[in-house]
Amino acid sequence: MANQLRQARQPRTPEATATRNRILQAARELFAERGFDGTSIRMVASRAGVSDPAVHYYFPGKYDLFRALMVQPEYPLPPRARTLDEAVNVLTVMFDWWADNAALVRAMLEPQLRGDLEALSYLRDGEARYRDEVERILGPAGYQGDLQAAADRLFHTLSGVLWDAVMTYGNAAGEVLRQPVFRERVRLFIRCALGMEAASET
Amino acid sequence: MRREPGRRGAEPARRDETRGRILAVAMDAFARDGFDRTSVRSIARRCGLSDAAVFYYFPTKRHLLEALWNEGPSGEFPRAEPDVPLTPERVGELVIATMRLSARNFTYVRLVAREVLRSDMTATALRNASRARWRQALHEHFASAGPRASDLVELFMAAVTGYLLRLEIETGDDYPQAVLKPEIQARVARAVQDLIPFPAAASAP
Repeated sequence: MANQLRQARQPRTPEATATRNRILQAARELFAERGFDGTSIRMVASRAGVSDPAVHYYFPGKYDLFRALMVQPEYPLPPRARTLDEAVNVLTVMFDWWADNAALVRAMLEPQLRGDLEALSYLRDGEARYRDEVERILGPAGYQGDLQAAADRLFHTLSGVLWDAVMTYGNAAGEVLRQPVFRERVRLFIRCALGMEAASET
Repeated sequence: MRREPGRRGAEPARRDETRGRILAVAMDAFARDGFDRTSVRSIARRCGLSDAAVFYYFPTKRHLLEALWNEGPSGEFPRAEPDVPLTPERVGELVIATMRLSARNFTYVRLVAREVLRSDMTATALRNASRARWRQALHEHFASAGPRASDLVELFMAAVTGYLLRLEIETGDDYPQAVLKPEIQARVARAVQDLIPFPAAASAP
């Protein structure tokens, strides 16, 4: 029972789901406005119009809140790509999701650069998940090269795009990355990471 | 009652030395712990000075931060020689040149990044200017890639940014040593070489 108390809980009723969503929305706004370091559980509770214990009930700590916000939804495209071109589409849509959450990526960069251990472990988990996902996509799509090396190039290049965008454009980064010119560039970078551009140049 | 700098006994050389020492300690502290998490008192203590002595040189913590912006990055990015084609070797050299500069200017770059994340306008402008210089220098090296040069420069910058920021998050204070390790340099250079599509002639031995 004591153990259960420390865990993040799932809501059981529609009202509870609404409360949990309100807390998440408040946290999303505050992280974007004040950064991760500048946001406290108390501020989240106050903006969501709930008590501090209500926030703790669903999210024992600030990182639990952050992780809950960064849970990837189902991708609109089938994650199974049968060709490399389809794989590029899936990878681009995955990147769109990160771009939509650019304000959260920016908020997390502060504790990450400060050397916060939980922020580092969050990044390591995210990287491991992304690499697994990329390998699961590229394998069935018939990628002939070294899967791990491709996942490594994709992770670092696309992280670089995202980190640079949030440092250059702040919270407008998501909007900027959605512009066709940036989206086409991301698609090109993905193709380069998969070696799909090598032969086309004279 | 304010002390008047001009009437003080300390000779100018020693004043400059003390001022420089305060700036170096402040740069280190702001870059590592952030502006908000650093007090003037902790800077004074690390310099072996009183708070008042620090305030004598810098009336507020903000003045101290602004004085740091003058301690700009040092070192030049290699210039391109005209008509030299872009080869994997050249790209590898450019990656390693970037890594060396980032080790040399680590504290400054870290300070700028932290302040950019706090939406400091000066820091954001300085970062943009420094990336514009890097981009400009890369353009000269990538000129032989023709109409694609722009995209490839952006690809180079994105990849190097990703690898180096990832390394910085992983290594923290040890970044300047880590980024100079030959095996790490070789790994990043190799990854960027594998990303850039080279014209067939350039990749032939």
